[in-house]
Amino acid sequence: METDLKLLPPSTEDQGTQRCRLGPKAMSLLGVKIGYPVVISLPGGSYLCTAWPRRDLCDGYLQLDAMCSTTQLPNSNSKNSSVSVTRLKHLMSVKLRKVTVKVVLRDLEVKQRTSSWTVHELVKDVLRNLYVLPQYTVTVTGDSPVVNLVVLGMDPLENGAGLVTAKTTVHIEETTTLEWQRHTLQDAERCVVAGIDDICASLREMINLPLHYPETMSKLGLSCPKGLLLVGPPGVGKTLLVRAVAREAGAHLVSISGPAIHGSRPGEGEENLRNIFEKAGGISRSGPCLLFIDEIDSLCPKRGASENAPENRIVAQLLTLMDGIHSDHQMAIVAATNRPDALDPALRRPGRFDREVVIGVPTLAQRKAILEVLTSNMPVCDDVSAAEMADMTVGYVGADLTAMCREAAMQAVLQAHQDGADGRISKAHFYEAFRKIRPSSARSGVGQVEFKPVQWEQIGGLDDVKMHLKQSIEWPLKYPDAFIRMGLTLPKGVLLYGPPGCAKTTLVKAVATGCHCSFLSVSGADLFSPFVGDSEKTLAQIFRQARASTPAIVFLDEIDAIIGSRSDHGSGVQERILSVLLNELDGVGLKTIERRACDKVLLEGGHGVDQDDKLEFQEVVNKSVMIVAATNRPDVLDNALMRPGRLDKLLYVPPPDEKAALLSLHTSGLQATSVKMEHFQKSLQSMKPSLTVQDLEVYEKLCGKSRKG
Amino acid sequence: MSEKVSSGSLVQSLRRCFDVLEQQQKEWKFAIQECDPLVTTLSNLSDQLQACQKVNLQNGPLSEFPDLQDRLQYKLKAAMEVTLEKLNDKLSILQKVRDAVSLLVGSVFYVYEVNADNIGLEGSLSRTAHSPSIADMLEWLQDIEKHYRNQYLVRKLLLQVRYDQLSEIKNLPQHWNRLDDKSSSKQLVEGIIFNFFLNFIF
Repeated sequence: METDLKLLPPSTEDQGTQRCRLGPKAMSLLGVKIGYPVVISLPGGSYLCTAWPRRDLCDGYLQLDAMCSTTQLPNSNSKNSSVSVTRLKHLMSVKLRKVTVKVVLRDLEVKQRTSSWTVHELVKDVLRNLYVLPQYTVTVTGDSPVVNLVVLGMDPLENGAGLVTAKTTVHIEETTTLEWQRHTLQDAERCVVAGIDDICASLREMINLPLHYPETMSKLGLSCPKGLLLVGPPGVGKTLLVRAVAREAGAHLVSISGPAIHGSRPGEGEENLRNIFEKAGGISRSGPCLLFIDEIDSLCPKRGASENAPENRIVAQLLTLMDGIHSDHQMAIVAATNRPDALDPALRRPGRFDREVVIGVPTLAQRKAILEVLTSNMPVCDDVSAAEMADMTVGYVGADLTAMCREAAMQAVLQAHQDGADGRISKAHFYEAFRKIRPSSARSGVGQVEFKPVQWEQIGGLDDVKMHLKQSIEWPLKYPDAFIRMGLTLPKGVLLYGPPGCAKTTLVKAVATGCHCSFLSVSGADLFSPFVGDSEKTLAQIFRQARASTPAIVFLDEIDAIIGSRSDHGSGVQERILSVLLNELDGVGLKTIERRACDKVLLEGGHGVDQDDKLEFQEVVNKSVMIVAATNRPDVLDNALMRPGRLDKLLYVPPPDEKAALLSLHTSGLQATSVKMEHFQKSLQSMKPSLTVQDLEVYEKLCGKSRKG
Repeated sequence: MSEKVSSGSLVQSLRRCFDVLEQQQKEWKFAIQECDPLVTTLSNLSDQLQACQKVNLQNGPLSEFPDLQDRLQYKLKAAMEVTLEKLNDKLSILQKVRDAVSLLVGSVFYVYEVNADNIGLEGSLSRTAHSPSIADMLEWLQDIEKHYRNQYLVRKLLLQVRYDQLSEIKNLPQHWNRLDDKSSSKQLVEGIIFNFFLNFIF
């Protein structure tokens, strides 16, 4: 006997009857009698039907009525596929005492119009003489206000299909609308957010508390804080966070974006705002609702800053909607911005945006968490480690890391396309991607340089200088905890001085190549500008960028040209730049906007970190910016700059001695053409040294002074 | 032997069931017929009430009579109440029919369950030229019971009228008659059943 039944679409008379039509042989194989419950498992879902013989008594065909199924929104799958008889299972029938359901009505209007008694009667009529199982959906055809029912529970809960009889009590647990159900089902893909768990918790609490504990809230006599402002650089995950939390809490997300509000007619913007708030308020009556305003600084600039009356009116409208006389909404409002200082200060008071959360550029641990989440879904090779990549990607935000992973995947796909390999993403792909994607914090302008990487071996001689450099620059950036442990303060800056042409800049390039730090280089051309105050702003911005992507090295080349000494008559600009630099090197505190999560570093022995140490490490993070300056004329520099605590390490880069000269010749790669000794001797005679003996003496004197001091 | 006995008892209960069904169907039809004029009356009254609410009696010859508008409205409302009461009486007749049918069908299914093993699948499915199979008859009974239940509920919900929805009451006869038409296919089925029945010899 064939065990495959061909699936046909159900006949119209069977609609709403929960019947499935089988041939007699299939029925005897299953051992069912007429009208007994049968579960049919198909790829689309499971269907619970009652077994009835086919009218024409033919074998080999199956028709079923999809009234009671597991798919919440069943679409008619009337494909001519074949179903094996093994997929049908015969269940016992259990008479139910009580059944609990969730009712889904057509829409909000119907829900408000129909009384609960009517709904109860309709539901009882639908369920009468029907077999149900928990978590199954009963679809109602026709134009009744009830669209479908979800069976939440049945009593007694035994291993069989429950039959709803005249004596069963039907309990309606929840009534919702079709739109709401569709909305909760649509978000099937979960977006996971890594690295910002504490902010997630704060937002989740804001949504859930009034929902789950309304009596506590009313007993306290206060309303729960409803506004949250997310501040942070672009690409850090603000919108993603809001979406993830809304999905988790099952809240409906209504979003506003600034440009969508503005309209052409006067007053249209305010009208749009009012409509959106009303819509969100309506939705919040039937379930938790979250209103998300993205880029709020474009919608609400400071009033009075520009005499732009329409804009001011929109700001005023938003303020009244959030906290005015007619605002009795129950929804949570979350806003995201990059520039909190451009916001109207009236917005940032309790009652409107009570809480402000700063999401900074991710630290090492956060980057590692983000990378782990990103690569969990990708087919990566085993040698790819998230810790290593997190180490490499200094200054990258969440969006950059996503772009990097995407780029690596593209590389792998391209390579697989060409080679026919199996398409797993390896370390090489990630390195390629890393080279292509630059961090967004570093994309804006000032201080970005590209140079050919220089290895330490390519610089001849200067061994002690190299050692000093490594000690002063690389070690504090890489191992701050060791310095703290030994009770040392970290050096902040290094000054390289010496005759011109002695490889100071090359040395700095070698340092930058050697450690994976972000490298920012500033010269006079970047800083000086005709506008008053512009150079200070530029310098401050460079330092801010450096702090955002620590560990970082800021290289100030020809610093004597940028910064004069204050004792001279001094052109004003240079003095001001000097003051900015002094403050950045040694100023008070940390700007709140630049706050980042502190790296928890465990001391030896695995002890936890207590409060003081935490703060210290945070300060360490703040201080992970090294200044390297190079100059030919160290005597011109201000004394305040050269004191310990600022540019405390002074390194003299001497002109090359004999050994150095020969070494540099060796490594300059002239192997292809053979250069003979005679050529060199001849060129040495023609070339004159650029330094005179007096200059050398000056430098030696200075060097002696600093060595002794 | 026991098979014959069980199937015999089942067939007997089926026959009794269909007999009772015939009677109940007659009652149902009669009740619906009686409802029709009442529904029309109701809609007329609602029409009058609506007109009364809209009219402005002050500016006409009838302005002499004190409280005319209020009295008219009161009278109309009272008449509507009376009509609704009568309709509710008919509804209760329909409810009785529905309950009787449910009980009957339930008992037939119970008998089937008890005797199912004895009769066997073959017995339930066998059809002859002059009698339908047990499966077919059970199916029809289920359909009929569901039909009565649905009909009763829809009619009852339709009659849940309120004074502020006078326009809906105006449209009541149309909806009411439409109910009869919609279920025309079901009526056909029942017609066929009863016709069959009169010709069957068990």
